[in-house]
Amino acid sequence: MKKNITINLCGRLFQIDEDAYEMLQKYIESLRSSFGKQEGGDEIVDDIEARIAELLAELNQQGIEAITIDHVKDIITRIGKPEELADSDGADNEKLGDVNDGHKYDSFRTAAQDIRDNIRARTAGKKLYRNPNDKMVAGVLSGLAAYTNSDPVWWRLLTVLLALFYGIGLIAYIVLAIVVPEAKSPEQLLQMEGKDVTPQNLADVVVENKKTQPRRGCLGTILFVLFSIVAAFFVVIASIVGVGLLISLLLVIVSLVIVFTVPSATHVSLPFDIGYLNLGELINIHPWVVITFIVGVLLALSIPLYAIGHMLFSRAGKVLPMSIGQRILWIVLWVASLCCLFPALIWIQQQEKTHYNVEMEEIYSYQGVTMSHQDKKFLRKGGWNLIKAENCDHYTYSGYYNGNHNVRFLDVYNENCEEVFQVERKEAVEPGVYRLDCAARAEGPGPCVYAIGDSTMLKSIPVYEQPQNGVPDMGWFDISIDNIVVTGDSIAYGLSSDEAFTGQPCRAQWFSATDFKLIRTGDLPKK
Amino acid sequence: MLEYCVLLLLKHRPSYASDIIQQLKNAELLVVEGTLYPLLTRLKNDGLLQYEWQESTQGPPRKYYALSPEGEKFLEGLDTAWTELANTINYLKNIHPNLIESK
Repeated sequence: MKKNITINLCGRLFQIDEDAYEMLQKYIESLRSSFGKQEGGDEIVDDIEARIAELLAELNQQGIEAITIDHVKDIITRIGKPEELADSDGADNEKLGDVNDGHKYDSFRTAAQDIRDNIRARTAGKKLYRNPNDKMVAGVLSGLAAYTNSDPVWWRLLTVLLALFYGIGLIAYIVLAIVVPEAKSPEQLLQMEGKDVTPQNLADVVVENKKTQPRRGCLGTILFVLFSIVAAFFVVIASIVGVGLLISLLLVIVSLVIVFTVPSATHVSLPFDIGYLNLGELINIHPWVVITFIVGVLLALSIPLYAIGHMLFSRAGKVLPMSIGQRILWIVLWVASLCCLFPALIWIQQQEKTHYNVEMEEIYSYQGVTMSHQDKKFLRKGGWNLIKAENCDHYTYSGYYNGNHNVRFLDVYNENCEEVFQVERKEAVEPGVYRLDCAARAEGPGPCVYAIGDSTMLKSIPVYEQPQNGVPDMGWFDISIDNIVVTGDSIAYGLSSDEAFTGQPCRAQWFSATDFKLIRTGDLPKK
Repeated sequence: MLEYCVLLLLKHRPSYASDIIQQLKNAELLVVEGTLYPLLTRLKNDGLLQYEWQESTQGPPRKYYALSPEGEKFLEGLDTAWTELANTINYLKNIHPNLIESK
């Protein structure tokens, strides 16, 4: 007794045994896969399907109600196996051409032919698939064994041994499990074993599959359940990664479009710091590096996305799984894109860093000396020229002066009193006699205020004393240099702790000065 | 070769695939039925055949193949070539060994 199902073939209903149905379905599938590549392939298979329907209808007319597997075998023999059906004209011509070439050309060609034949003979028309019928984990090794015509046990031992050496075996296994497709259809199973795809063999495989399916040991069952869980988990992870990749890809595309279309977006914060890479400017200077980088980023994101999408679709049975060649091609392409992406990224970052440093130097340098932005601003605004600036921790300071807090003034500090500092300002004046007023303070002796008219006039800054009576004058002294005689047209004045200039060593950790005023006190004495 | 036979069969009246198969089997020419379908599709793609759907008394509509004008021309060409070839072969077959020697 057999289970019986009803099928609809080209609009007609047939009663057919379950195994016969499976065989018929596999046969049509294998036809589709062998004709599908050529032009009008689907049409051919549809026509053949119609023919099968006719043959089945004939059987019905002969009074056979249920179609058995033997009837299907007959029909398959009648219509023929896929290779027999291939329109052989083109192939024949090619073969003829080959033979002619063999006669015409030198022995080199025949030698190459020999090698090729030898390789072909060894694998004897087999294709490498994972073997679903004899598998421990994914069927990679029994597939390899079938391909090389050997016992899977040796391959398994080798893999376990290699797995002990830094996990080489494990990694190789995982790579092969990803790259090598599983033999799913009976046609692929036959190709795996190197048997011809004949109706008889197809039937054998279909029948044998039914027998082998329940054959699975205790360990096998546990492994199978584990593997199913891992596979389900993998699908979930892959989906999440896929969504992540998709979002990243979209963000990258949007960012790239912004970077290249909005010129001022260079320092706008964009995902993956793309804004900071300054691509918009770099592409004018080094277009190839930037293009390599962009292509690399897009490929590196979209290839795994495509692979995950393809995998999910092929799991759902919507598309055929990729062939080994395709898989290797994509993997190579992906690795290549990473190999382009990272060097380009590092290079671009370095470019950007030097660019940044140059910019920073512009911002934080005053007359060749690096200092804070505020120091620079103050010195520039006051028209101060730096004559000496060594070992100074800072150049200005914001603090108390003359009743006000947060007043910025000249201020130099070095913990070991090693600062060598001289700052000077020039004012254009009429000839005459002048007086310089300013406020200054110093932590120790040494620093001077000076004015240069016709001669250089120095005045030491008095040493600061701890404020008594709690009066918060912060140690400021008023300092005046009087009787500056100017016969020329300018006075230079400033502040110095340079021993070579002041003639006295600096013993002050810090000193400050502010509020410089130049007052004309009289005309030049008449001679 | 098979093409020529199929074109000959279709010369007089349009037929559908099973008819053609039956005819070819009667002529003891065809072993594997499936070979016909790729051939028909190729001839159709080459523009030598055209087909139309016709209702049949039983079952779904069938594809009836017929020669296209181009196909007819092509068949004429094949006919001429075939006749020439047949003549040559016949001539060669009928040459008497003595005749060759006497030349």
